Amino acid sequence: MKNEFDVVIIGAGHAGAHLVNVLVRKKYTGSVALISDEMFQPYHRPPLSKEYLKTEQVDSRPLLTGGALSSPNISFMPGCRVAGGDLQAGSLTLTNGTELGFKQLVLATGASPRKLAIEGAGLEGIVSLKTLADAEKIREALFQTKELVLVGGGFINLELACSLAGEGRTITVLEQTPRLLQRAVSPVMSEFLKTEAEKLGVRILLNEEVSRFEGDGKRISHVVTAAGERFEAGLAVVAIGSVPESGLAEDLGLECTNGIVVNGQLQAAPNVYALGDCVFFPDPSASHSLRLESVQNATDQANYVAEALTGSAQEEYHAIPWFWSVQGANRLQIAGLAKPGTRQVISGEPADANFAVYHYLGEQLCAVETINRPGEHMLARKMLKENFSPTEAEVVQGVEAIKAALASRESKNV
Amino acid sequence: MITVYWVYPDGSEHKASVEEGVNLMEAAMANDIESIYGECGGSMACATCHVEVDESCGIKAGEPFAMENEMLDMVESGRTPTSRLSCQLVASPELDGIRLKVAW
Ligand SMILES: Cc1cc2nc3c(=O)[nH]c(=O)nc-3n(C[C@H](O)[C@H](O)[C@H](O)COP(=O)(O)OP(=O)(O)OC[C@H]3O[C@@H](n4cnc5c(N)ncnc54)[C@H](O)[C@@H]3O)c2cc1C
Ligand code: FES
Repeated sequence: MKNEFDVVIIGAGHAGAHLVNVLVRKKYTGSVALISDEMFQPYHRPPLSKEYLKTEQVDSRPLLTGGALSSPNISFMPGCRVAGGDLQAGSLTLTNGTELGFKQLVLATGASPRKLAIEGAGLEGIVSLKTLADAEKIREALFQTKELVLVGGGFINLELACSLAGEGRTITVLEQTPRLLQRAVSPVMSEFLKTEAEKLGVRILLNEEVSRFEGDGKRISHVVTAAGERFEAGLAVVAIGSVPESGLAEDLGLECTNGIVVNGQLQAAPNVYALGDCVFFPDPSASHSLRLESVQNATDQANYVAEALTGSAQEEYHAIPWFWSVQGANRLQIAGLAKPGTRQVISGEPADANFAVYHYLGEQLCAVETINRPGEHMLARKMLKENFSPTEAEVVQGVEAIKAALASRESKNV
Repeated sequence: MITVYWVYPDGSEHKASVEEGVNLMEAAMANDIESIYGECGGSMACATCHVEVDESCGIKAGEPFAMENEMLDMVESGRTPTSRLSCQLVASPELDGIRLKVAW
């Protein structure tokens, strides 16, 4: 006999776990299965590249609330992978052969680190960083080596480099493009983050394409670039972006392009929702779809799907994207999406490690990057939500001028 | 172990024992305190862990940290003189018996 559930959630990352938290707080009484192919209780991923490896702790902060863990209608199934299923029949098969039935299905399968398919990629000591198990592999390697090469100059490797810097380690970041975080932040910000990491002793090399790994047949010894340079490495962390986990969705017959394609209600098919890093969803403020990888996106979409599952009719999903990254002593926050071709206005001085970069498309504010200005970040989220664009003069004058302008518009609208 | 009280807007309260060293956002999550979600895991990025310390019981939590202070100025539920982000409060003997009003 197969196990029947009202809702089956595949994946217990930020999206799947938060959805369960919200369902429990909404006093949802239907039966819910939360299936995870990881062995651990659901946990926060962001610390893994930040403070986690600096401490001796071996678990990350838990994602599920006390109620979610103890509710009799919630079945958490760790160490289980969904192998396939039949949407029409409402059934799924786990890799261990178990069959599950569902009335509503939620795909929260996330994204996986992109692999580098080059010579030597199978050597020991070459890792990526997505899970607690990955973090433990890195921790173990740190006992054996002080030579670290981080392939890819994205958020994960920059955070990792800053948190591991010191203690006699040589840390080299190799980035293929001409600047760090090219698709995510402004040139000013790229330059600032590079300078700050370098101050901690991290070596950052741009325009460097990695072409192979060398080793003694078993373990890595060097990372070699296309230009022929060899970097000694006892550990190489490859973080060159992620690919959506949409293989299962494809097998289920769902449309996938850059992730699982959903409509404005985050539905991939009737009674099938998808959310988080794995979903390609329509952006109501533009005429295209997008995929985001952030805690905010996973959480806001989980809030939306919880409403849908508990029967509240709603408008299309819409949320203001925001993101944070901690690199050494600096806190970068981004509100909105910094699209290519924006005009940028800077408030404050990068040299003071306290500044903001405002992105405009025409006169319209579309994103704000801040360094060590959490209050201004919150204000930026408010402005974007209320569709308010401060003038360049107000931005340069600072937060108080912006707040005043926003308040005067609010009072006019009343 | 210390005792922490969370007080809801209707005056009802939730009492729990919290191990020293645990931050009070995590404690709230473990105890399913309505409206506290700790979305950012205590990274001071979300403000979904905002509480108001009820100092009438005589226990104070002290001044917020500089970055926390900036966040509090912008919280949606509205700042009060004793507002704190509970992820920045760590259970310690001085906080035994603390009362936290849940911001709605
Ligand atoms: C090291 C690191 C640091 C980060 N730092 C930040 C940060 O500072 N700020 C920020 O906003 N974001 C950060 N992120 C991104 C953030 O963690 C992700 O956006 C978020 O985890 C997405 O949640 P999700 O639930 O969609 O996917 P995931 O968290 O990836 O969870 C998906 C889960 O589904 C499982 N799964 C997949 N297929 C199956 C299957 N067939 N059967 C069973 N289980 C399956 C996966 O194994 C995984 O456990 C970071 C990510 C990493 C890895
Ligand atoms: S948990 Fe996010 S700010 Fe406290």
